[in-house]
Amino acid sequence: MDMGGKQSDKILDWLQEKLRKHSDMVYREVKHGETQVRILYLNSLIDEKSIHEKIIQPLYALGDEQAYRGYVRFLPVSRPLSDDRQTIMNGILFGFAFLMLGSDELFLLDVHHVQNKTIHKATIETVIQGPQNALSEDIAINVGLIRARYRQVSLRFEQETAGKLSQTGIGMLYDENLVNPQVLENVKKAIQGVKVEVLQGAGQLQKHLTKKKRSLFPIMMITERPDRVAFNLSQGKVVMLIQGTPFALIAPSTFYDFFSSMEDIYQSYWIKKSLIVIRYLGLFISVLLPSMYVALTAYNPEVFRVQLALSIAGSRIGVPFPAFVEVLFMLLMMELLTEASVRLPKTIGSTAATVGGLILGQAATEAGLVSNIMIIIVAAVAIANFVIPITAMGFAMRFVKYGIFACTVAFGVIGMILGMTGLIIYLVHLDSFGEPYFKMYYAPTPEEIPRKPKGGD
Amino acid sequence: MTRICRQWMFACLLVGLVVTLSSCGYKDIDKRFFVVSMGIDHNAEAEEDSPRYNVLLKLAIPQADVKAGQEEFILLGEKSDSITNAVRKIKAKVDKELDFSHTKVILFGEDVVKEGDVNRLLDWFMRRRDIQKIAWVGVARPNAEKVLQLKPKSERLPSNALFLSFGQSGTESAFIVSDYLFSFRKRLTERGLDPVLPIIEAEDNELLQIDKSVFMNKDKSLGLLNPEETKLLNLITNRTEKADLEVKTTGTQKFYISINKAKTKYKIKIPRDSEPYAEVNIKLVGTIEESSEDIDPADTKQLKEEAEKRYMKKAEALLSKLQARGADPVGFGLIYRGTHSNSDDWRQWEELYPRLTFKVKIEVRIQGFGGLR
Repeated sequence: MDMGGKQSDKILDWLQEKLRKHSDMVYREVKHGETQVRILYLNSLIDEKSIHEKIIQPLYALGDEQAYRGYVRFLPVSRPLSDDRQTIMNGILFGFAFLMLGSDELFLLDVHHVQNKTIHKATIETVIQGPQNALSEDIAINVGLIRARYRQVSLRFEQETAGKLSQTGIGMLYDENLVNPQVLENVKKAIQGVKVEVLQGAGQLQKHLTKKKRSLFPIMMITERPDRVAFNLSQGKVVMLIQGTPFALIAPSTFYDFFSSMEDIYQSYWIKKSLIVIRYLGLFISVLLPSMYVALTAYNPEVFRVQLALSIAGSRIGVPFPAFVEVLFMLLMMELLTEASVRLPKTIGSTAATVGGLILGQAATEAGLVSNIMIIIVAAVAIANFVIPITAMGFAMRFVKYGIFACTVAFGVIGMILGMTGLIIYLVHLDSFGEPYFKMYYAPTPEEIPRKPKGGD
Repeated sequence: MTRICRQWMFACLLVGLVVTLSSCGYKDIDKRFFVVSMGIDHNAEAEEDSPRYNVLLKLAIPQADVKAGQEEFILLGEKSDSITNAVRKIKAKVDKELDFSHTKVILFGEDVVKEGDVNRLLDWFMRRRDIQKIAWVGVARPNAEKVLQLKPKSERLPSNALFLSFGQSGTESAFIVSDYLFSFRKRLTERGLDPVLPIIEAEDNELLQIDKSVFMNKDKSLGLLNPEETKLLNLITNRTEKADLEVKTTGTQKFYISINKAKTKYKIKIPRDSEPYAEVNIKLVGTIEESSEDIDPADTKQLKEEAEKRYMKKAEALLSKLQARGADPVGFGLIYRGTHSNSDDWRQWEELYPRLTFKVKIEVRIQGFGGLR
């Protein structure tokens, strides 16, 4: 016992030495009667009020040492531990308080102060009528949100960490009965293989989970909606929650998933179908319209009816550039505008959109730099792009159109078809954790969700 | 190593294919001159060695602000013995690339059709891949130049009035025969089916009048159909569904039926013991649109018979007239060939056609009496 006491003192000395330069380190010794309590923690991570309530107050209230020891042992937040220095250090850095009772019992107290635990409204994937809240930035709260929507024993929650420096917590959720074990295995392996210094975003994790260094399309869904998470769990998917972001990653995902909104489930049949048709229409417009304009005006104007051909020719009177330069110029302006309005504070954002969109467009036509029809096309492309419900896919499609556009400028309609074919070939070749990716039309049918055979084990 | 090599070869093949397959190079739409209509006249100069044709191209000038009656075009003519040559020469006169992809009306001067030059001229139109084969063909009176020069007040774009008249998107008139280039060509080459072309007249330099037509054999025009005959031919050949019938009863009464549904069927019958005949069944459905005297609904049957009798005679007269001139725009010959297949069918038909009699049956159904009751 004496040896143990010395050991404990050494640990304390070591900790204090290591954390000497941390001005948020707090070390306290409290003695009441026979009972001696020593606490060490970083006050920036700790909820000091709960230390006071849970540790200090009972010490004076209980008085008796044995009773107090028993109390601390059964405190739900306390974790007894051995004298492994590194574990203690990690614990302190993670937001635990280190507590030494007498000179032989060591505890880590989970009294960390949860930041950003507020639940905000969903702002990125909004639905009109349906659940309104998004995930929070804390895993524990998120798991709670999801469990509240998916009350099954088979819902498993496993924790991992990733990030050499950040030690970010990653929570994996899946329905044990529905998940495809192969996919689960792949995901687990991928998480363990993540090599990154600081992990802070869902998109970042996704990037490191995919084997390819350079990828264009998201093969994992990023969502902020707990209802989408619950829905996907019921389809046998694996959900990853990342500490510190209100976004969850869902794997595996198909192309169709990125074109479905949670609204679809809450709407009636025909409305849902029409909405999906509209989204795909939007996709084709945003990807193909600029190419189509160049292919048809500069290579094959006979496709138009004569009235339209003449009015397009009329609107291009005085435009000093070839059509493709005109298109590129306007698309570039549009990209700048979109990018600027994302980065700008909300209050200035709308001003930028007005100045850029209205005034620039108007002035450009009046100055004779671009044709009227071009403005309509660029506006249609921009709006159509925002129809894609999941932003990650929207971003990908924003850049795909330039590839097809390049083919079109060089080779006309044939080039456009070639570019489109190339895109389809690429999409077909992708897979998401072993599941085929390019599935355009339907949500998975019950048969496609792999289920464990009943009574199997 | 070989894999990379093969991938490169594949890429090269792809690029090669695409380069060779892509259509004629990049040319901006505002660097093109759209030829909206073409006309071919005989050269008016009557000298011995002067070129035979006057080839006219109507080029649309695109405008930023399109208004009715404000259209602008250039009508360029070039005298030459061939269209190819004329087009080459016209190309040298204009600053932009000529684009024939929107040439939707082709007009031949009346004397060109009369003198049998059409077959030879059509060759160019059929060979050029950029001329759409859905261009409408017509005969211009007095000549193509006069018609193409015309600027109807309602026109927003050059030649749009012609496009609207021939296409179904604008006016739907029973007097207009519209025929596509491919169909005209088919009629010129197919045995047993002869062409009919509309006559487009330039009236007072203000309006186009299209209500007569020309019927042809495989070579040249054989005669003219007046508006009434043109309308009837349109009904018989199922080209129109909307027409009006003028009926005189025994007295002084006249009434008019507006037809909104028409369907004609033909059959050729060759009985053993009598002369061959063609059975033409015309079914018409319409309402009474105008009448000189009051009509008693009880008389419907009588009125209907009156109309049927009158138009039966007219139709038989028209078919006999065409037969007498040796033209077959309805395509009885083709029906015969289709139903009597043997190596000798055409010669048989040639022998048979002059002897053919026509039995026209008209069935008029009067749906109503209009707003008056």
